[in-house]
Amino acid sequence: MTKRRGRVLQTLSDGKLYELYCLSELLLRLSRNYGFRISFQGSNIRFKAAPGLIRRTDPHLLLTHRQSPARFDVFVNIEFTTLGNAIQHIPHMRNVRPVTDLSKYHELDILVVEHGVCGRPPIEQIALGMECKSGANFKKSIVRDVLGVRRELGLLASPRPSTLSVFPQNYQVLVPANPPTEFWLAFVDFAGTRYSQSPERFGIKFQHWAP
Amino acid sequence: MDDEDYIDVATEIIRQLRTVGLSEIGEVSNYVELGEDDARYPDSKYLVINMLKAFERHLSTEDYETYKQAMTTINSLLAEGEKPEKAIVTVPNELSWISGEQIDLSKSPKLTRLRQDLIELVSAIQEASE
Repeated sequence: MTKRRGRVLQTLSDGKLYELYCLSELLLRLSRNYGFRISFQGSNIRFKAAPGLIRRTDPHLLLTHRQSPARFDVFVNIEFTTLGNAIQHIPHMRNVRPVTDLSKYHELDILVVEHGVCGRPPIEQIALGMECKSGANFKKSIVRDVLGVRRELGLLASPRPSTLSVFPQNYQVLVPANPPTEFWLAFVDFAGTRYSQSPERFGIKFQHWAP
Repeated sequence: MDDEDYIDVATEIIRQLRTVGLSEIGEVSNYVELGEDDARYPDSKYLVINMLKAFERHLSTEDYETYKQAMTTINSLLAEGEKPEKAIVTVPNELSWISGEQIDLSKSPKLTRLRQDLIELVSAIQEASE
């Protein structure tokens, strides 16, 4: 492989090792806190240099629970269909033109969705979305980014049990959103913890995860 | 070492970071202290310490040890059945001149020793003023 080709490939994989680390930390919490049993479907964990659709044949993880029939799948680097696009389906907004440009989708680094979902899931089928910021220095622009993604994941609402809180007797998370999708932001730089309070009011959970 | 010495060190760190494509870490604006009333630019020693810490954080996200830790955690959590052999990154088909390529994250460099050296260097600098 030429040096230039190698450098380009390296650029495309920037941040992916941190996404793998975040995936491991997420799974740890899904198991220990929420009580999910986790199994893997595929041969390798496969990240994509550019986000894409959910394909059932792609490697992914399956979450099941002893005390609930609910099942979820965990995928990486997936685009979802935004709230802005879904608004046209709200009864009193039927005269709103459908979204046809590139803003119809946003991507998330890690996605937990209802089992069996494929394509670019609508927000109602997303249980948890996660952004992983591997940058050495946390910037306030990250906060603006995630507030934007939170906006497109659902409406601000009174706190309610998250979709993932399938056995609330053991563990329950309240999310001020409809649908009650959890949204986590993971970052390496401790300075990020100084920006958490206002975003948390909108249901963004800040996770300082430093390898 | 005095302020002038730390300025020279900071300047050299910034130059070296630019050389390896990490000029972002050398941006002084990253290390501005924000207060209620105003923002203060860092003194030269603080700048050196925090750039080195930021560099160590960057290395942690590329270290083979991080890969090993993540895969060990994932495999320990999995129920009986298939376990992932490794983690890879695939290139989109649209990049036809390099499509079909994969980046194998298990081939990440071993940077633990370098990271430890950086942590010890930062400690030594911090202690030097006390």
